[in-house]
Amino acid sequence: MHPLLRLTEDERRYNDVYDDPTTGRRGVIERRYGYSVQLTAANPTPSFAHRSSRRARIFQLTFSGYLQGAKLRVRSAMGESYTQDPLHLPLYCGASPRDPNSVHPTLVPANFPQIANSQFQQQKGPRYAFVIDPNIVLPGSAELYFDFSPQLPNDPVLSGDGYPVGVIVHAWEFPGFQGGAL
Amino acid sequence: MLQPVNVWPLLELTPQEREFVGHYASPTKPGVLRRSYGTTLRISNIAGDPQQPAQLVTFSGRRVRIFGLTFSGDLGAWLLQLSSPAGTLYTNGLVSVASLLNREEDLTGPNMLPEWEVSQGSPRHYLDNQTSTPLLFDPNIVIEGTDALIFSGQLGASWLARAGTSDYRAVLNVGIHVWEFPEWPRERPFVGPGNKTVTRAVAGTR
Repeated sequence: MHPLLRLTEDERRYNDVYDDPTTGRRGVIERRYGYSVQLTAANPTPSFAHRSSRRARIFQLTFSGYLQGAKLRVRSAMGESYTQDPLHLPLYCGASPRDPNSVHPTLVPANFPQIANSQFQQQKGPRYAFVIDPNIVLPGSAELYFDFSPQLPNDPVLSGDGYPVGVIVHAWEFPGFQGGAL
Repeated sequence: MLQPVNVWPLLELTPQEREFVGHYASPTKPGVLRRSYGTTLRISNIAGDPQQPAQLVTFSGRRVRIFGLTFSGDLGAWLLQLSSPAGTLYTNGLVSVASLLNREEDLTGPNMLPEWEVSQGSPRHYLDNQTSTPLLFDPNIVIEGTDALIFSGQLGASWLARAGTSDYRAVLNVGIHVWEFPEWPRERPFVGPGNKTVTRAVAGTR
């Protein structure tokens, strides 16, 4: 599962898909940045900032962990919210859709969501990557913020091990774009 | 070369759209933004619980093309109607979310059985259930200006029957995935580099 890199006219002035010694244009570099957070009672709303010194295009996000307990909002330092509202993580990547807010006498276990932390618990992981097209364009050294919050306020799981979530930010980076970082 | 095997659609602009926006921003045109909105429907019989059987989703005010919806929560429980305030029905009344998503478990009709039940399954299997790929719209749903989208839900008969008189709370989270067109000509003139106003004709007036 991988989108194709297509360069704009402007990008072709500085970069090519691969290094081109005849024109001096630098090749685009595909990079992955790994992050992990843990939603706990002490810190129910963790966040991290993604940045790179080169100009970059973020083309997809992939996730791991106990996703059903958390929501995510993505925004840039420039003020653009790429998710207007915090979204339940399975809405990005198709993991188990169960919501810790659900209550039902026969269809939801009485101790849910605590069972999310039980040993040998079986759970469906993410099903697809969250592909972003058009990509999120980040000028060199600009930041993209990932803000997490619990899907269920006062979730009892937060007082235990919490919800660990892994995120990989997949980016194309443009060395030397408009004289920027190599 | 790698192939774009993908559950998400890639943006294709119409010739008219290309007059005013680019796939990415350039010195003369703004770029299209890929954004997501969310809403939640909730029906409960628990005292004091907020009820949200319908939600009106408003957008940024930019021109918007909705290309996909994703769902989480009690997917087998819900019947959903999708419409606009102007009266356009994007579903012909209330339809099963499970059917929309091509899922096996559907508790919206009579005498339908769940995939997992407290009395029969181990709690550790409760999360062993996967949501579906996005529900796509092509052509996309176009939202102009301050138009909106209405999500109205109702719980299915089998899901309610299994609750009996006990407490229940059903949740349906919806991710609304859109392309947004900044500075679309019906909004205001595009302000170019150095705050120079670039005058563009409003579509249909030339």
